[in-house]
Amino acid sequence: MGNLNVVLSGQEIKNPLIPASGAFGYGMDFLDFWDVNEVGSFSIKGTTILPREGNPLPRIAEYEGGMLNCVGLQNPGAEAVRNEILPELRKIYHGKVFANISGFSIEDYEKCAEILDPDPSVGWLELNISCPNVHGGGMAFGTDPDNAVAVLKAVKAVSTKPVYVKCTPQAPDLTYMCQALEQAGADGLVLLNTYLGLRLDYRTGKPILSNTTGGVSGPGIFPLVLQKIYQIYPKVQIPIIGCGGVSTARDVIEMMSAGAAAVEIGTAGLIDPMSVPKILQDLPRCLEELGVSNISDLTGRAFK
Amino acid sequence: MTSLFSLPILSQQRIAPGIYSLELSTEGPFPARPGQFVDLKIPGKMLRRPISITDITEDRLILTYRVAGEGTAILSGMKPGEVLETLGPLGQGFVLPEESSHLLMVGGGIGTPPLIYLAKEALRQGHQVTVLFGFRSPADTLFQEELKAMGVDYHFAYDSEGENVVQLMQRLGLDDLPFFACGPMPMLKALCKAGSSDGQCSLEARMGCGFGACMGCSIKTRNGMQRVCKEGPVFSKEVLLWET
Repeated sequence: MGNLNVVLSGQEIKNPLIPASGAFGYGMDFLDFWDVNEVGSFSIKGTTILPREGNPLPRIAEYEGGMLNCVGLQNPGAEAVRNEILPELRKIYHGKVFANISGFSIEDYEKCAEILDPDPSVGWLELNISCPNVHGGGMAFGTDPDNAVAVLKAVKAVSTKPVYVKCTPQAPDLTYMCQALEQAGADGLVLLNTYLGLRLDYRTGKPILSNTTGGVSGPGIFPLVLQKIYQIYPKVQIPIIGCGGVSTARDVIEMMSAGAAAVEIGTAGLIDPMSVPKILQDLPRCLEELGVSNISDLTGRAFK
Repeated sequence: MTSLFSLPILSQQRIAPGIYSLELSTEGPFPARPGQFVDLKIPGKMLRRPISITDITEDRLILTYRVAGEGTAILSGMKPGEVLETLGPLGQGFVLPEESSHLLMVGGGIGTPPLIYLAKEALRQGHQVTVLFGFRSPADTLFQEELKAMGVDYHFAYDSEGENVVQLMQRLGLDDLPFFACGPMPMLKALCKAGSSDGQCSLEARMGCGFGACMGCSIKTRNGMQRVCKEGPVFSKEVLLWET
């Protein structure tokens, strides 16, 4: 029986599967299907300092490889998340979660971190500088290394928990971005948020999504993200959490082989709510097949 | 409780232009209340298709859908014996009153199916039911035989004949009755304006997951942001805002 434990910035989690922010709510919606305590951790819905209603409908479109969304960071605001949601979350989930925080100014991120960092359920902060669905925030910080570093430094200054930065594939020079973040004190990287995409209605020729564009996710982006991880892994020392199109245990193995220390899973769980427990069931068999006893030994296997 | 079922297709037939009736085989009655829905995995498509429930029998789940795009077109070509992975039941259904009353079911087009299951349940519970259905033209009429067989009071309105269901309701003097509605947004909006203060509307939305996780179908209500798939699809009239 293989050992699935992995360590992220000194904190051990029992397996490398982390449901991704925005695809898992606060864990409650999966309780009808499986015990969410099976996962190593998960990342909560992107949280901003003020409550956000998100974008109008339609927020969802589809493509052959997955889906596009423009939800737009709908959330009740950091105070409500800390005071109302995290106490409820603790009743159903006993591990520590990633607090995904986003904003429209450096101060927004800083305040959000101040509110969520002390919470006992928060194990890591996940700095979302990569949401493609809000204007003047999110991804605007993730495409400019100076802005990204400024946000990171402000958040690091008020945090006690490890800070992971969730990057956007829209960054013009992702390697440079990741190196700049590492130098500025990032504890880890989450590669990647969604790709910016578009679908037009067949009959009208107009955008399907209310926000015109949306974030592309699902199995169709897996090889794209895999390539980015393979590209970044040799250039940084901090852990990388892979995120993009993972749907099977073999995808997890492949992404870890490219350099991921752990793997986030999003769209697969929306397409099939049972996909995460299925992957967890399959992983030990894969390790046995590969003759590997510790899954963490797979990280960066491509370079060994 | 919501779960995944593998349900074989028993039969499928076109019942009106672009409209199909699909019967799925179940082991015992499918555990859904009127107004809840199921999310069907369509071969070759990533996201499931949310479909309302027309009726439930001892061993069948009966669905009615309109071919609206590629997914439903694929569905309409599926044959008896093929298996549909069905997620459900999903969402909150309609809430019938405790004491027996005279209830109005108002449906438009492909919004009519969930009201068949609801009307049957309301009759079983001893309510008096009047059904008002609106369609584009007589050729688009759905469920006439079912309504006849139920022995329920029913009336149809046709756009082609210059009357919609809301006008029909007013002509029949039924605007004081508590209503249960499903249909196009303009119909629901007009109904909420013209009808009783006591009403419930079932909404439609493009969905991602169908079970609440992605927040892809949230709408603004007087109770804050609510997910059509989870807190809905049925909402009481007083919480609905009509901004979209």
